[in-house]
Amino acid sequence: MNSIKMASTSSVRPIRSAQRILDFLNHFSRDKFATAALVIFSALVLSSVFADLVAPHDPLKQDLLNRLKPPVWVEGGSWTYVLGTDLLGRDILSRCIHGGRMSLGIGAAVIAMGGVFGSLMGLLSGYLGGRFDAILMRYIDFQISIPYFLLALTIMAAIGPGTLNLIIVLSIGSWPLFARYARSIMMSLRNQVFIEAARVAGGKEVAIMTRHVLPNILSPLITLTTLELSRIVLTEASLSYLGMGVRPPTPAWGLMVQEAHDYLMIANWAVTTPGVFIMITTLSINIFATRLRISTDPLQRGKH
Amino acid sequence: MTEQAADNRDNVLSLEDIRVTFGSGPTENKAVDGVSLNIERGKTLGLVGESGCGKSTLARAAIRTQPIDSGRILLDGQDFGNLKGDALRRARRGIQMVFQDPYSSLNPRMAVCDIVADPLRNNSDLTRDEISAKVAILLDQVGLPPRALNAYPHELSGGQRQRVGIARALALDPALVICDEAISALDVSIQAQIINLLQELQDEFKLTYLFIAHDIAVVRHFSDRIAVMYLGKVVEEGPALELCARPQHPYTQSLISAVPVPDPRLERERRAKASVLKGDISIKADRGCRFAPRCQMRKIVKRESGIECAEVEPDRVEVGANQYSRCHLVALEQKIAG
Amino acid sequence: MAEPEISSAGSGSEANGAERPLLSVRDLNVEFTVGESTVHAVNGLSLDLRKGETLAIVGESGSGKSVSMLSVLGLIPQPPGKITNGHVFYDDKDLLSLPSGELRKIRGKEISMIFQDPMTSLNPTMTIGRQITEMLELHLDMKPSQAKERAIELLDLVEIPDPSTRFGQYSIEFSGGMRQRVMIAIALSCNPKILIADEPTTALDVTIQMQIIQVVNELRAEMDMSVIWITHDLGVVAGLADRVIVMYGGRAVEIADSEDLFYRPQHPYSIGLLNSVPSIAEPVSERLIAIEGLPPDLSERRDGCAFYPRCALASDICKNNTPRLEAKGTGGQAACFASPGDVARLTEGSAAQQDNASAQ
Repeated sequence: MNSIKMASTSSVRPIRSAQRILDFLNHFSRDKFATAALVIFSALVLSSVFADLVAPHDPLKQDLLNRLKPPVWVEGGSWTYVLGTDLLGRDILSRCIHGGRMSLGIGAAVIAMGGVFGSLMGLLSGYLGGRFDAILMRYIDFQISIPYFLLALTIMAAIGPGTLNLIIVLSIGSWPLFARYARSIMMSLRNQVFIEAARVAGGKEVAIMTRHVLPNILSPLITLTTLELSRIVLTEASLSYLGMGVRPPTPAWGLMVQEAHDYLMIANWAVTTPGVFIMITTLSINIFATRLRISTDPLQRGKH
Repeated sequence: MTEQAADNRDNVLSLEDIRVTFGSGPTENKAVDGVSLNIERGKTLGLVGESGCGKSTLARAAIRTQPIDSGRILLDGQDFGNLKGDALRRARRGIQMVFQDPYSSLNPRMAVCDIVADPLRNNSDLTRDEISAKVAILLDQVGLPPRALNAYPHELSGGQRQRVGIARALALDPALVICDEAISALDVSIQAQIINLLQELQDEFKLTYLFIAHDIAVVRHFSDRIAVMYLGKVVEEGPALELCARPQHPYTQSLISAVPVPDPRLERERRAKASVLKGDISIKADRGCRFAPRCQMRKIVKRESGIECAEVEPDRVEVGANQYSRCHLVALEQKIAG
Repeated sequence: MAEPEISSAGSGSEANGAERPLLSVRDLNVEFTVGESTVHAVNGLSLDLRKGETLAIVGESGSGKSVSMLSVLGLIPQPPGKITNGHVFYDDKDLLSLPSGELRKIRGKEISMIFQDPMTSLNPTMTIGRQITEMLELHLDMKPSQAKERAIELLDLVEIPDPSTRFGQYSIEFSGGMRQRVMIAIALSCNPKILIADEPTTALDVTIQMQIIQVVNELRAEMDMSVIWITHDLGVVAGLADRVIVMYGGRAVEIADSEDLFYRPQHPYSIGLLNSVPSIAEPVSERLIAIEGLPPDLSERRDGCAFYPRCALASDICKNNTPRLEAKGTGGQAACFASPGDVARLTEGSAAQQDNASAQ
C-alpha cells in the first residue's frame, strides 16, 4: 500500500521543474546499462558532430599503397590506421566517424520530417475522429501493405539516389508508424476521466492539450522516436548497401559495407567495422530508450 | 413542467425533462429518459440506483460533459444547459465534481499541487504565490499532510487520492458539488472518513451536494432527499428518512430490503420477510413502467384496474409530504383511499 | 515473528470443538516481493473450517483475506508471492506440501473457488455449457452426453432460466449476475466439500447480491458443503455466516460466532468497523464514527499490533508486542491487550456517541 505518512513538516513548497529534471536524471542513472548506453550514444553523436576534429585522417583521402591494411591488433596492422584501411586505402576509423555523421544526421532529419508530421497527423486523427480519421487510417493501411523496400526502391529509382532523396524516402516510410502510435495514445487519453476532470475544472481546450494531454503523450512518443531512430539508421544502411542511398565516395555505414563486401574473405574488417558501428548505435539507442520510458513516467519510476 | 410549478424554493440546480440517448436503432439506449430534479441550496440530494440506471450519465449531463438530447438545465436560476465556450467555462465554476475512481480521475503525470492548482490557473488571475497559498489551504481543509503537495497520485492511498479530488472540486468555491460514486471505490474504514469530510465541508462552506451512489444506506445517511432511478427514470423521490422508512414504489422496496444490515438477528428477520427480486436490469422495456418486467405487483394492477403496466406509463403521484412515486399500484391505492 | 499459534483457532470450549475440522490452516505466512521491498501479506494466520458451516473472513483490501485463501489452493503466483511458513491440513494431507498435480486434483473437485469478477473469470470463446462439461469430464470422468445432462441440471440448480438454451450460449450473452451464477455452477460441478467465495457479490448490484447469497445458502444446505465467504461488507456477513474471522494487516484479529462478533465485538478494529458503516435499519447519526488514519504499510516489518497507530485503546505495550489471539470470555477470541472493561467501554462509548448524535 502506497501512502504518504502524516508528517508534520511545517512549510512544504511545491517542487519546481528544475527539481523534477534532477529527479529524472537521478533515477535514470541508477541503471548502469542505460547510463553506459547513454554515454556511448552521446560519444557517437559528439564524434559525428565534431567529425572533422576527431577523425585522424581525411575520410576521402586514398592511399593506394596502404590499401586493405588490417587493424592494429592483427598482424601487419599499424597505429597509423587503427581500424585498418579499405580497398582504396582510406582510413576506416575516419570513414566510420564521418559515416556516423551521415547516418545519424539522416536519422535526425527523418525524425524531424516524418516523425513530427506523422505524430501531428496521428494526434489530430485521434482527437477529431470521424471522416479525417477514417481516411487517414485507410491510407496508412494501404501504404503499409506495400513492401517497404519495393516502395523505397521504386521512389529512389524515380527520383534518383542522393542524400536529400534518401531522407524523403525514409520519411515517407516512417510517418505512418508515428501516426498510428500517436493516434492510439490519443484515443486512449481522450476518454480518460482526468481529461473530463480537467474540462470540469474549467480548462480551455488549448490548456487541456498542453497541460494534460501533451505530458502524457510526450514520453511514449520520445520512446518511439528513439526506437525509430535506430530503425532508420538500419534502413539507411540497407538502402545505401543496395546502392540506392548515399552516393560514393561520401562515407556512410551501409555504403561502406556494400563497397567492401566483395573483399570479405581477405579483409573482413572493412565489412565488420561499419557493421559493428551500426550495431552499437542501434543497441545503445534501444537500451537508452527503454530506460527513458521508465524514467519519464512517475508511475513506472516508483516501481523500478 | 407541472411537476415543477409548486417548487419555488431556492434551487441551486434544476434539471427539467433531461433526455440522453446512446446509439440508435436496435441498440438504442435511453440512458436518461425524461428526468426532472431540483436541488435546494445547502441540501444534499441523493441519487440511487443500480449500475446501468443512468445516474452517472445524468450527473455528466448536469455538468455538461455529456451532451443532452433535450431538456433544460438551470444553475442558480440561470440557463446553464445552452452555454458554450467561455461562458460555459465560467459558469462551470459553480458546479464541480468528485469522480468515482480516485485512480483514473487524477492525471498520473501531475503532482498533487498541480492537480489542485489546475482549476485556479484556469479560472482566476491569482499570482503563482497566491495559488500556492490557496492550494496549501485546500489540502489542509481536506485533511492531507503538507508533504502530499509534491506527491504523485500513485504515491497516495485511495482515500488520500479521493481527498485530492475533493480539494480540486472545492478550489473554485462551487455552490454545487456532484459526488459520483465518490466513496464506492474506497475501503470500508476509509469510506466513513470521506463521508465525514464531505459533511464537514458542507457545514463549513454551505455546499450543496448531488450525491450519487448505489448504496442506499450510505445515501440515506448522507442526504436530505433521495431520488431513486431505474432504467433512465426517477421512479420515486422524497425526503431521505421518510422514503427509506415508507418506500412506496415496489422497486424502492426491493432495493431497501436487499441492503444487508450488519445485525444478524435483524438480518435474519428481514430475510425471512423479504422476497428476493428476480431478474436484473438487463431486462429492458421501452414503454410503460420500466420496472414492470421484474415487478411482482403488475398482476395485481392488471386484476384491480385492468392497466397493463408494461404498456402504460405511470404518472408521478404525491404519496406523502413531498414524496412522489411513479407506479400504477400506488396511484390505485391512492384512488381507493380517497 | 512467526510464533506458532498454539491455541488452535476456533476449537475453543464449545461442544463441537471435539469434531475434527474439515480444513485447518496453521500459522500461514505469505510474502510478496515488490521491487526491492517485501510485503508481508499474511502473518501467522490460523483458522479452522468446520463441516457444514459458513465461515466469513472480513477485512479491507490488503488485510490478507484473499491472499491467504489463494495460498491455500496454491493459486498465488510464485514469484512474486512466497509461502514462507505454515500448513494447510485437509483430509490428512498438508496441501502446502502436496505436489502441484495432486493439489490440482483437489482444487476444483473438493475445494472450489468463485471470484469477484465474473466478467473475466469466464472464457469468452467457449460456450457456457462447454466450460461446465469440461470440468465434469476432467474431474469426474463423465461421458460427454452424461456431462451435458449434468451441466444443464447445474444451470437449473443455480436458477438460470431456460438452462438448455443457455447451455449453448457464450458468456457475452449473460449479465453480471447470471455470469456469477454460471461461475457457481462451474464451482459446484464436482460436488465440492468446500466452496471458497472471494467477494463474489462486490461487483454486483444489491438486488443481484441478494439473489447470489440466497443461491449459495440454499446450495450449501442441499449439497452439505462448507463455505468460506471472503468479504469486506459486514452486512453481507450478518445474514450469512456462522462464524466470522476479522483480518487486519495480514493477521486474524478476532474470531467469533456471528452473533458474538456483532453484539459483543472484542477487538477495537472490529468495533470501529461496525461503527463506520451506516445501517439502513438504524436512526441516522450526525456523523459516522470513522477509524482515523490509514491501513498499515505491510512492506514495513515492525513489532507491535498492526492496528496500534489507529487504535483508541492503544497503550505502550501494543507498540512493541504483537498480541496473540486469546479467548475473551464471550466465546470468541481476539488479539488485543486491552482489558475487557476498556473494550466494553469503547463499545458503549461509541454507542452512546451514536445515540447522542442521532438525538441532536
